[in-house]
Amino acid sequence: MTPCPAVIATVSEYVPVLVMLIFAVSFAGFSLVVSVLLGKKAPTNPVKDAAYECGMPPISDAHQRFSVKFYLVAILFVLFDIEVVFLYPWAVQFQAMPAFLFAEMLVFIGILFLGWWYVIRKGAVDWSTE
Amino acid sequence: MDAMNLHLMLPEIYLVLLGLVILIADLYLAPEKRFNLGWWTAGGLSVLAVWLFATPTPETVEFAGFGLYRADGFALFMKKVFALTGILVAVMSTGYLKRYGRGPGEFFSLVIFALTGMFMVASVNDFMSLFVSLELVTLCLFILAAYRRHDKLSGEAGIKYIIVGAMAAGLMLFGMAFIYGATGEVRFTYMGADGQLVLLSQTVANLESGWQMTALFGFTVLLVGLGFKVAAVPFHVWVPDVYQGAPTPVTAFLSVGSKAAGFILIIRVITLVVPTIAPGADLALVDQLVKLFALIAGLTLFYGNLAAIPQKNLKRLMGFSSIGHAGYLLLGIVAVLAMKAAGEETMNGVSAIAFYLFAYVFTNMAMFIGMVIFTQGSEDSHAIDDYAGLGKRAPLLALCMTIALLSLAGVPPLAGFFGKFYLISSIVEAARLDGYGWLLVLAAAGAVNVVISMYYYLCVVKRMYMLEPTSDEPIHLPPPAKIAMVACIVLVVVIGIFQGPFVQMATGVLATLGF
Repeated sequence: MTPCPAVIATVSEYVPVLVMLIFAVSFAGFSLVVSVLLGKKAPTNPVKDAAYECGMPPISDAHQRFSVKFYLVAILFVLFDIEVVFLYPWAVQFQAMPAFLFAEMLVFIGILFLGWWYVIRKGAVDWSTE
Repeated sequence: MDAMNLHLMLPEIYLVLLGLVILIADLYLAPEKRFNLGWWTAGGLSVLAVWLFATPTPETVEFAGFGLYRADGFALFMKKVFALTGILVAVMSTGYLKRYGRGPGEFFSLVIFALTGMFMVASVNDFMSLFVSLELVTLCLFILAAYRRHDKLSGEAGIKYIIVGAMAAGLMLFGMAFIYGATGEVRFTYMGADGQLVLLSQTVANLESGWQMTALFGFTVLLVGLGFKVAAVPFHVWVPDVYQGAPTPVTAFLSVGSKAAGFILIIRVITLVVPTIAPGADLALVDQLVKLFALIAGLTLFYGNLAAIPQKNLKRLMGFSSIGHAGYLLLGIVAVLAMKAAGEETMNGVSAIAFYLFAYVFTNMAMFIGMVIFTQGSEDSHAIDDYAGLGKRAPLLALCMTIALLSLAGVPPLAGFFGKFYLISSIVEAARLDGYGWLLVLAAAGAVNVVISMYYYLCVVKRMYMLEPTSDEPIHLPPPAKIAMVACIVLVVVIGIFQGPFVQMATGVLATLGF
């Protein structure tokens, strides 16, 4: 199999990536410099200096117990997120056989919907059961 | 080949719908009625079984899902085996879950989804569908193995199974990558440039010798991954712990369904991907595989049967005995490989494996249903000493379990004997080939192991009949499980006495195997 011409990359094709990199770095540097120059010097306190102002303290013992509900929500998020990713290749290929692919996706979304229904009825996203 | 052909996949579609119905019905049923979902499952699967048995054996191979899926005689036969397994698992789980008292909806839908995976496994025609369908089976079984989550042993079973399963999956993908690297193809059968069907094995046979070594390496690693699934020594370490810890119906499902799925895949890879050597060709590839598998089969036979002897727990003993049975089934694989190495196309090893699995379903299921009936309350421990005096406490149960154990050991008029007989005779047939006379040693090992296994199976029988009962609490035999167990035992005897139609059914799978 010969690789298709578009795959053969030359160095010049990476120029946009380079431009993007330069732009990203200079934007970050620019923002920092501008905020130091123009920003108001407010009094600081330990909470304000912490990496995050909400959630878990960033430095502490890692052996902590989390509510299992965090995991449940995280897994449900990943599950539905990944399933929606299937929509992209589907959309790209849609022109090839529209009627068939439309029916296939209806089945897929239907099963996804059943799963969502199951999750809601089971009370998996209900935080106040106990 | 290049069509969806959804009508060929109707059994799988039916199974998925059944699983979804059970899952959703669980949400709307009153808690005490949820345990009836087991009967829904058994009923739904019985309809499927009748449908499959009414389907005539296809005379040609048909492809669906753009070449990912094949419908042939072997797939149909194995689907019948899986459907029967599913019914028996559903029947024995219903009473079990009622006593254990936890979540029947998820349990039965997971059983059905695992069965869907097994159905897909029976029809694989592509490395990708092989991997996805096998993972569907194992993912469901991971959860089922850890289903008694408040029981430490069950949790241990789940964790051990998931770690070993993940490693086996990784090895399989590694092997597939090498085969793909050598051949540039993931489909087992595909349309060549001239419009003719091409087998991947032909592609491998036409490779240069360097690439053939790459493919051989791929086969070896892939078959190691599958060796984990079928519990072949030295990839068996997980079996005793998982079999002991998992809920008894899940152990039954593992020992029959999961093992059969692994053997189907080994057979598919060997018949469709491993090349047949033209007579006189100087190619050591398949010969190496014969030697490797003969070694694994011999080790598996001896290890499984010898390690079963000192066991004190019946479920653990069944785990080791299941390793031993994997050894017998591997004899058939060795026979097929030896035939391939000699350039012959006869595949009697495959029909022997098919017959053995068919007989093994009823034998093993009768034994496990008996074990589920034996434990009362929510307990699930099976010390062999607890079975003392069962002949007095529950004569019918003891009789059925005795017949099942004798069939597992391979005593003549029962189904298990003929299964072993056909496997050993397929190996003897392969030993007639030039340069494979040493396979007779393997056949002898098979015969010796029948005797070894007789010892530990009969030790259980001895406790049931010769010792006094440790408790005089009566054992209640729930009617559905009792009927299922007796039906299995009747079939074990019938298959043993009138093997004709069953052997015919098993040899019927050969016609469409190698295309």
